[in-house]
Parts: sequence; C-alpha cells; structure tokens
Amino acid sequence: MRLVDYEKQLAAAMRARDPVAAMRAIYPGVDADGVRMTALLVARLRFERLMRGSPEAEASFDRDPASFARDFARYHAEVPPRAFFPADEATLFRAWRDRQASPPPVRSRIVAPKRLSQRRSRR
Amino acid sequence: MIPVGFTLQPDPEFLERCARIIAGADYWEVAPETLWRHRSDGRLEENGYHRRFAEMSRRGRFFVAHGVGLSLGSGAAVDARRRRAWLQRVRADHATFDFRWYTDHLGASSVDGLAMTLPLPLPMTAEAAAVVRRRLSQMQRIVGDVGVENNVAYFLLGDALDEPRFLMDCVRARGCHLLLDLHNVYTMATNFGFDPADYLRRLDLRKVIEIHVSGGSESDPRWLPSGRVLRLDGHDGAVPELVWRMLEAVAPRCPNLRGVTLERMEGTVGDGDVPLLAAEMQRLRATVQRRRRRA
Repeated sequence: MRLVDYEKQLAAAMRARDPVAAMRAIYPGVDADGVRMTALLVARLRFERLMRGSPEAEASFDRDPASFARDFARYHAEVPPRAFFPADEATLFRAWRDRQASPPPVRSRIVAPKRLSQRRSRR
Repeated sequence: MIPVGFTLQPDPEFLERCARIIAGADYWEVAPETLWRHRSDGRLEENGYHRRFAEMSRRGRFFVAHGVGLSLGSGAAVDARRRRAWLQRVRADHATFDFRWYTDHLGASSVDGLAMTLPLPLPMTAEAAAVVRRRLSQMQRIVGDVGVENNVAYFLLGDALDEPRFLMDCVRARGCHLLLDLHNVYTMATNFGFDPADYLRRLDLRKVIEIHVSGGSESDPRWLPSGRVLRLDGHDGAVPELVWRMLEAVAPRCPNLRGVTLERMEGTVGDGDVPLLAAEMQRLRATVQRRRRRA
C-alpha cells in the first residue's frame, strides 16, 4: 500500500466509530488495544487543544462534564480535525455548535412533528 | 562535558514552579510550534511565549528545537502548503533562537492533511523512510543538524524490534541524527513485551545526538474494553529506575552525544514535584559526568 493511501485510511480510522475494524481492513493483524488507545489519545489531544483555545468550551465542560463529553464526541466524529492551533480549533467548534443551535431547515420542520409522534407512540 | 537540558513549556505555572531548574540547565528545549499562532491570512506568527523565551538570559545556554507538528512521515500533497508555512516559521525562529539542532518524531502527526497531533506509526517501508529523509533534508536547509526521535506508538505495522532498522534508514544522511528517547523505548518495551536492551543493541549509537529522559504513567483500565493497562508516555511522572539504568548503560556508548534532556509536561508539576524534578536534574548531571570520567 502506498503511503498516501495508508494516510487516508489511517485518518478515517482514527475518527471511526470502530477504529479497530477500520485499521484491520488494511492491516488485519494490528493490535486492537493499541489502535483503540491511539484513537483515544488523538481525541484527547484534540480536546486539550480545544480547551486551550476556547474559554467558552472550557466553561461548558466545567459546568457539565458528561454532557460536554457527549457533545465533544459528536463534534470529533462530525468535524475533521483541520485545526493545528487552539484558536482555530475553537473557531471550528463554535461553528459546529452554532449549526447545532440554528433552526432546522423548512423540510426538517415538517418532519419533526412526525418524529415526535413516533416517539410518543412508542411509549 | 555533556550539557544537561530541560524543557521549556509555554505555561506560566510550569515556568514559575520550575524556575530554579530552568536556571540550572545548560540548555533549553522548545517545541517551536507552541510559540506560534495562526494568522487569518494563513501565516504563522509569534505568540507571547516566543518573546518571553527569546528574552531569557542565556549566559552561555543555548536552545534546541524539538517539534511534534512538522510531521516527518506525511507524504500527502494536501499537507504541503502547511509544511511550507511551518518551515518558514522555523526559519524565522532559528534567526531568533539559533537552535543547535532541530528534531521531530518518527511518525505522522498530520495525516492526510488532518491534525492528529500524536505522531502515528508509519509502515516501515523504503517509501516511508524516503519521505522522512526528504523532510529531514528540508529541515537541514534551515538548521544544519537535524534528527528523528524514536517515537512511542501504541500499535505498529510490523515487528517492534524492526523499528531500529527503519530509524537508521531514516537518518542515514550526513547531519541527520537520532534523538534517543529512553522512556519511549521503555514504554514500547513494556507494551509490546520486548527487552529494551534488544532494541538499543540494534541502533547505531554513533548517530545519537541527544538523549531524552522522562517519566510517564499507566492508562486507566476502564479506557479499553479489554481492561488492559498500557504504559503511556505522558511526561507526567518520575523517571523510572529502569530508564536511569538504561541511561547509565547507553550514554557512554554514544560518542557523538551533545546533550541529555529531562522532559516534563506542563500541567503535571505540583509544588511537591519540584524537589523530585530538581533531584532528577542532579542525577542526570551526575550520570553524564560519570560517562565523561569513564570515557
């Protein structure tokens, strides 16, 4: 496998829901614990970069660590880590949060009540 | 005498607590990219710590650069622009700090253009070694002496004891050196189950320009579904006794050694840790002096 192809696979694996499966697709014998630990550390370093760059994110984390950790996990999965510096990570995170908070587009508004009714009917 | 160095971390608490240790070091190691910020036009500029470190009274001390962000093993074209900006910034820093040498880690911290921060393992192939050599050659146009640090990886694409061969292939050019991190060898040996002496025996110690000594800690068993605990290279704890013994054994066999550095991460130094760090610096100096007497 060429190095550039390896990089693509590796980048995807580190943010995959199942990094071990993603890595084993290219290197079947790779150590599962080692891959999981690496993906965890990549996420942790990104988290630390965000904390250094964003006082607001840090305050959110201090207020409710569990809820922030869930948000961060979604952010990490959804937004490729293109920021190499804390301030840039803060900008990416703010943009992602704003997208979460903004009103859904018209089509989604129509769908939303149906989803709600489905949820009620399941109860 | 082999100089003894200490890391400078851009953190006010670290700098305050470690002030006496910093003052007692023969040289200071900085990660250049921790002294930068990104401008909106894409250029990299100095942050406040850049000036603070540049203004420190040197009195015979010197700086060495040890980065993590250049990403020696990245081959992706998508990262080329960033690497160019990085090297331009290092050139400007070199004009300020006059780095004696500049090292980075074996691995790729920028992968397919994405910031992984942690240097990730490379396939130990001729192609990957050629990419690392190309990066080192680019670094050498700025700082004459450059090097690669043996990295900690938590998974490998091959045999851990094949890594020394790969490393030596990466640094075979003139002016390219090995930064031998003994805690990294210890961590890899612990996690992969090999004897550190077997790893060290496979290295050409004539290439070693600097040795790193540090500590770490163990992962939380809840982090992995298997419950397995791995040794982590966190630079957040005492130097293990085995690492001291490795230093005693290996330093006298490195004829071109130019410095031994004690590394410590910011945010990990409490008041109670300062005497321990001071004692570690003393022990480092004593060990290096013993090496000189033996030589």
